[in-house]
Amino acid sequence: MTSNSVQISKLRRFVVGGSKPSTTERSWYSYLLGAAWVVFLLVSALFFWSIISKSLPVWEKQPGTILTGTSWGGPYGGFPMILGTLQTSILALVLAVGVGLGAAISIVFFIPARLRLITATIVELLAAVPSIIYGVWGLLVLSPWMLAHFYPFLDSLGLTFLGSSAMATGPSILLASIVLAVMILPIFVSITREVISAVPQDLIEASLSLGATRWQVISKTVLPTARIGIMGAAFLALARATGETVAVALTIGTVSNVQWHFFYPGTTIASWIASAFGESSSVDIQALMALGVILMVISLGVSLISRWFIARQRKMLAKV
Amino acid sequence: MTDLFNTAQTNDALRAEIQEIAHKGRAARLVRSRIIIALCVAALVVAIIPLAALSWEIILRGVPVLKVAFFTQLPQVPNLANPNLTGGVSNAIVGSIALVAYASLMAIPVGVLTGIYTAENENRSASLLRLMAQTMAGAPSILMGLFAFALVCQQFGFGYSAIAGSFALAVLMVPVIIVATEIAVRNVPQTLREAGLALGARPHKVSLSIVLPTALSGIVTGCILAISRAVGEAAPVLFTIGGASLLNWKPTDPVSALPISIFIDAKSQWPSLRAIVFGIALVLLIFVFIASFTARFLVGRQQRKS
Amino acid sequence: MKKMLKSSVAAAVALVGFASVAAPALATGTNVSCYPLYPTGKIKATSLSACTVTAATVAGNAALTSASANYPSNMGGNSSLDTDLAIPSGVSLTAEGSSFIQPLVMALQSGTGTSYWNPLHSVSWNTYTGAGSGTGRTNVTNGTDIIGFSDQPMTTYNNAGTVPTGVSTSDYAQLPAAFGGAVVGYDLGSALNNLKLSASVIAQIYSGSITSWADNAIVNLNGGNTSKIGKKLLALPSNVKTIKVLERNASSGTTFAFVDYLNTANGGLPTGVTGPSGSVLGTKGWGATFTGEANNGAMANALTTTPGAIGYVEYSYLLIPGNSAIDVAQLQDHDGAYVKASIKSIQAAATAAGTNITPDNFSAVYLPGTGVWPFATFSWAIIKKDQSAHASAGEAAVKFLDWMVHYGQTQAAGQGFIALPAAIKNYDRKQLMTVVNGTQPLLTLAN
Repeated sequence: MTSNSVQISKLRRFVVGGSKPSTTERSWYSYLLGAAWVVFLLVSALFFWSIISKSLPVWEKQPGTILTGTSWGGPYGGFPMILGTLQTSILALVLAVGVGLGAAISIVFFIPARLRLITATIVELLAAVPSIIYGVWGLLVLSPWMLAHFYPFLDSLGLTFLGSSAMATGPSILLASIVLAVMILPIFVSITREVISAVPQDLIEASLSLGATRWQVISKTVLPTARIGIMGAAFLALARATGETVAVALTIGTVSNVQWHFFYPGTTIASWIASAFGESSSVDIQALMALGVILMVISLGVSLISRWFIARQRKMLAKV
Repeated sequence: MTDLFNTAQTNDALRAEIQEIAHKGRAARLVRSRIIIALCVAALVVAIIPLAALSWEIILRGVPVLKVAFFTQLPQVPNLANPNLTGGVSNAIVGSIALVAYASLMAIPVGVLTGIYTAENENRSASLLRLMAQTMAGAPSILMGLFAFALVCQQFGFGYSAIAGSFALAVLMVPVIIVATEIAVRNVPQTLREAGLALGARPHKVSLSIVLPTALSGIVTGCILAISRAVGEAAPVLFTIGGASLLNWKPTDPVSALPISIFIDAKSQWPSLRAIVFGIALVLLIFVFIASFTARFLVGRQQRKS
Repeated sequence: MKKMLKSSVAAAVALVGFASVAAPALATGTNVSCYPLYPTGKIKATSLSACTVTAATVAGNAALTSASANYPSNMGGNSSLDTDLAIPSGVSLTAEGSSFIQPLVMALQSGTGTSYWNPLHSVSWNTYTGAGSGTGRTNVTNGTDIIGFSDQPMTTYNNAGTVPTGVSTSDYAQLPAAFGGAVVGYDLGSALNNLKLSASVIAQIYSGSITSWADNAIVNLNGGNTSKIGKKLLALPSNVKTIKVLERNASSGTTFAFVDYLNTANGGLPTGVTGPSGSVLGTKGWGATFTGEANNGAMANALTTTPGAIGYVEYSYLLIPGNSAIDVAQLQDHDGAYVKASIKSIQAAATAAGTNITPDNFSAVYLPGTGVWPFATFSWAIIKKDQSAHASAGEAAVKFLDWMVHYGQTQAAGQGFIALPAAIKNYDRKQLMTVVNGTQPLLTLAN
């Protein structure tokens, strides 16, 4: 407490004429608040518990197969979905970081101040767009374009490990990853922008005074300082990408086998749950819940890592 | 080589020495710097292109769809005799409004009150709440659909219904509202609070009469953003609402929703139904942009006031 | 001499192959399946003689399907006084299942003017997504949906494998609601439309033995290397020449009918040819490189956008604008002549199927007759007989179904289906009259 507030509370006691309020004077106000946060905690706990408990039969019967099996009938094999989630999220992250880092740096350092607000607003508007709109744009606009131009172009570069553009049908892992990258870009850019602008100004000026070029300042001073925060931003974007459902469901084609060729359809955990739910019996639904638990673990793990990075960044900047 | 630690050197000589070192190879470094700067700005342009392309396509293909019939008619199914018979999306509009209304009724009180609690307290439960709110805010939305299905559809026996879908949306909205409320309340200057306490007001009166009104625009902003997110989410309602071909809105009835109409029609056989998708997308986009701008405006006004 | 040797070796191999597959099946007697799709395993090729419907069954069915019943005129029609249109208001109906019958069902759920069943918009329908016949059967038996549409009825006859676990079929009313044909479609451009494909070649394509459109087997069926079509096939670019096989999952009714056709037309599947596995969009059993499509609509989409693809899709999807680019193969009828897919040939199949259609006799593939389209099936509506849990919804459901199989059939031709004959309509109505609320039938003869 500051010395001011200590004085004020002393004054208040003098004015009101009593010692601190007795514990029985709990107002309806604190009961109301208490009710609200207890409800929230309860529902959150129920959230985790209900999905986990519904999936218990699967963990009892086939804990290994749900993680490593490759077909969905009989013993439910979730490996194609797990693999697909990793494939799309990581590729989306690589694309988003590649473009987003440059974009964030531009916004902070190279864009004239007048344009800064507009560009920042545009990037944030991108974040508000519902994901299903990205999905239909990907399916109805981007997919035909990619089928006609982009797959053959990549083929001509000799990237045959991606598959053959002739065998491509449109929806594919590559298409889903590109749509995901567009979706997670704004998150990455806005957090990176904040982290980069938080680098103390005197560090930058010191570098400039030593005769460094603008890029040298950024690469040798700003980026190393902000590096941890940028990692945090990347992991946050990754967490978002792993959980995305409808945009991926519309653009990935959804087959249940392991897919290594990015031109061909694949699947992810979230899009598989969305697609297969309508045709699932109650036993199938248990397996889908088990997939949901796996997704929970992946997504939570990645966001925890991101939060750790961002917290470390804040601590580091507090010390500087 | 000048001894940099020999303080007997004059400052001028020192500066000249450093500048000479710094200028070596400067031309090459400048060129490299300019190239990389150009790449960064190019990256920014590339980052903005998708929004431009997307908005352009949606406006171009969506505007022709937005006739009065689109908003007022029930959906029809094209058939071979009438391949362009698509009707409208009035059922989805009514359903979405109902879903968001019920969800807000559940989410806003819980979220705002919890946010106030976490902003005003520093104890263990407040930290736990903050952790939970941030965790749930980042959780995949399909899991909320699974949760609502297991709890409301099956356990409580409501089946496919609006209440199940709104529950899923409420679970989605609460963490967003908590975080926004906490930030808004924390931003209220401590002096305001202390002044109220100094005048003898009880803590809860201070909160209600002084802190809340000041934080109101921040809280409202959070609620607007949460609502705008809920309107556009398809995953939580995908297998909880069932779909309806009439203007269903009661909590226990199955309802339709705009994102679900998009999801189904985008995969349709009929080109006319696929074209409708852009109209719905345009409506959603306009709604979301208006919500975003309103939020920004409120925050800006708040910042100018304080 | 060499030729004789080759052909006798081939014959011997075929015999041995056939015997080795057929013998175990015959040996196990009652495990013979004539509807070869098991929910969990591979197809068993069988000797078809063990599969014929017995005379006794036929006689029994005839009593149910006779057209001698006297039904009032204001039932199943479209006048405003029709009892089928007098529905309780504020009802929510749920239907799900086959994407084969989906175009007809959705056209009848709504429409313009008075030619649809819900003229006052008082009944709300859920979203029919065409999740497949297997889902239709599962959902109607576990109560998720009131009406299930499935291309095959639930029956244990001949190990059809269409009964969900723990379900007693006598609790459900099952009625043929439509008759339609399906085609083997592919995407090779309009110049190569109407390719002749025999059932044997198709089976080999679906087992992965034939992988190229320029394979000798296909070329020889279409005039040989020197014919116009043959030259075009050989001249296809290499990426289009590779056959991309599209499939549906094993619980799909269209898949069932497709494999039924292949099995029947081939007299049992050729050795080494297996069927799809039982999983949703599963690919084991059929080639691992096949692409799964969620339903008929997705299959039609894929057939318009994937050069070199082959798949099987219900006929009316071809009539949708935008799908007219799908190439359709000519298939052989029972006499060996090649037939083009058309309403006329599908109508011939409907006529050949006759009227003794019951859950124990439902297959309509490869029927005898000239110009009979060999790949056709009925599509069934399934509804629980006991509707007491939601009586007004049950009443609305049976009235919809009664209207669908009577007046709704006038819309069938417009949607690419074949109208049901009178005897089957009567059978359907008799089934619907077994649906009750407690002891009270929900569909009664109006006075």
